[in-house]
Amino acid sequence: MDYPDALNKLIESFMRYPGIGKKTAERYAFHTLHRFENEDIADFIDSLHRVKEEIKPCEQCGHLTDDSTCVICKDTRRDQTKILVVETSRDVIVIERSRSYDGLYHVLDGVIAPSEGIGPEDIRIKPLLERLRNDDVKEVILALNLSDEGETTAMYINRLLEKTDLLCTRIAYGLPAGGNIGYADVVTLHKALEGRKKY
Amino acid sequence: MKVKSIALSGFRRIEAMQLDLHPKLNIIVGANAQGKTSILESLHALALTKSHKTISDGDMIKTGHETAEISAVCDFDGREASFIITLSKTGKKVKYNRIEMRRLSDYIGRLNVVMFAPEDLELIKGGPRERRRFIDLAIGQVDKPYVHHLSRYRKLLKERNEILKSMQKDNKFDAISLDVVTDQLVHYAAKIVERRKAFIDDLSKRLPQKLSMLAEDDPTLSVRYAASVDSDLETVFKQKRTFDIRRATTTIGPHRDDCVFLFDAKPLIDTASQGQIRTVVLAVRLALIDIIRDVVEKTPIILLDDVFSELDQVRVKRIIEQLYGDAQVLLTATDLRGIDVTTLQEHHIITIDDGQITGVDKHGRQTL
Repeated sequence: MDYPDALNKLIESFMRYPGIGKKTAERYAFHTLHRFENEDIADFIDSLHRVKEEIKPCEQCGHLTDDSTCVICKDTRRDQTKILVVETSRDVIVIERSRSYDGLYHVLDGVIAPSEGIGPEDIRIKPLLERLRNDDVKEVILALNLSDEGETTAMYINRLLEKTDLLCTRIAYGLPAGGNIGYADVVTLHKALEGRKKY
Repeated sequence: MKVKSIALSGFRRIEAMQLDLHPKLNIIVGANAQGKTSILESLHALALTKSHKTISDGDMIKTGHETAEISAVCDFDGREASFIITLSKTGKKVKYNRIEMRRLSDYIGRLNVVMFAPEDLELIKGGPRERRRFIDLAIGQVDKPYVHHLSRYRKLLKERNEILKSMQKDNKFDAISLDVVTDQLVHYAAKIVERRKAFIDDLSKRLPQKLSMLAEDDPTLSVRYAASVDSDLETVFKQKRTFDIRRATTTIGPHRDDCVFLFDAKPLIDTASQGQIRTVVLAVRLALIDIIRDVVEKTPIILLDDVFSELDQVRVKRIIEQLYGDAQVLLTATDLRGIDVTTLQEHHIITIDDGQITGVDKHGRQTL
């Protein structure tokens, strides 16, 4: 038997989220029905609208912001000579939380994936090159995922920068904190040995 | 290694089947098209994740079924291990000891099989694709990194071809994309070609002795790797760059390589008789058993699909003698006429009809 129309619609809406199946969607819908006060619902609706209306990419780095430029780009105390290149805005947040970097960012919004037809023009490589014309920038740090496409994209950007006097570096790959060598996979160990440092 | 039991569901014409195997010899008897070959094919697919025939994985799924599942419990010198492969129209999943292996290269090579089948003649008579398939499946059994390199190569090849196509069409990709992907492709191509050459050399050295067991007066058999690039890969890829852009595809590399079987250093396809070709492919499989045994230090499971009907008694006897020892053998036959059962010691005779087991005759002492 089907639920009444309004409940059905709500269940279907929840099911549009990644990782949410029918059962979870039903739980969320019933929770909304029984536990939410009118103001909870108004808040929910408001934030759904606001996220679409207010959040947009920063004009400079592509990181998500509710202004024309993001808080990182606006912050003049940050090191303006370094740009760290990442795939997504989430990566920026994670790196910021680690408090291990004080330069600028550039979000590519994806990676080059020839088999899916995603080329250099489809991600934010051109805006990166424009930013690099600025004389202040001395170093580009590549912090892309260690996936096949991440590698291809890193190699691509490195190739573009070869002829400039910019320093192009990439973050090290290796064991995670608390990582156990005995449980590490072959690729990680290979990269960790390749990127070893003098003590 | 021995397969103790195997279970199939939705595989070929078999709805569901459970079968305990004898650790030495299993003779599967039944009329044509009753499912004898399917049992051998299922073990091949379980071990190597592919059929021994050049078909797509989906063709192994029974009509009307979404998936086919093959599972087996095996014995490795007293240590038990389980294998499961689930084939579906969208892909395949493998489990080793009930743990899903996300990379096939972590799975392939744990269970080794060598299959003798009528389709083996394609190794000589078929095209380069059949020979590359043979080489890749064979090396994959003994060299895990090879499986990984091959899958990286295939993906990069697909990417390079997409880039080449787009360079003619919409210019979505530029020359730098092409070079970046080519660099990676060449890296894996070099590893693949080097490994294949070593395998073919090894195989070639073993062939004359194997052939002499099967035929006294045949010429000297050897095999040579025929690479599409015989000098430095990186240089040749650079030279062929413009040509590849014009042709919108990758015209050289291991995916275009071949190997040539020779009688006294001349391609045997030109001179060999049907009977000679048959013994040559048998010799190749016998040599493969030795190659696998030398690397993994265990004898692979041996699958003989209808190979005896075409051979005379003397040769059959020689093969059986060669295979005996510690090997577990599964063989199919339409009837027991070609096989002198009385000379065989321990074995099971499994009768199959319409995709179902209709009887298991146990002969000799049960070990294991």
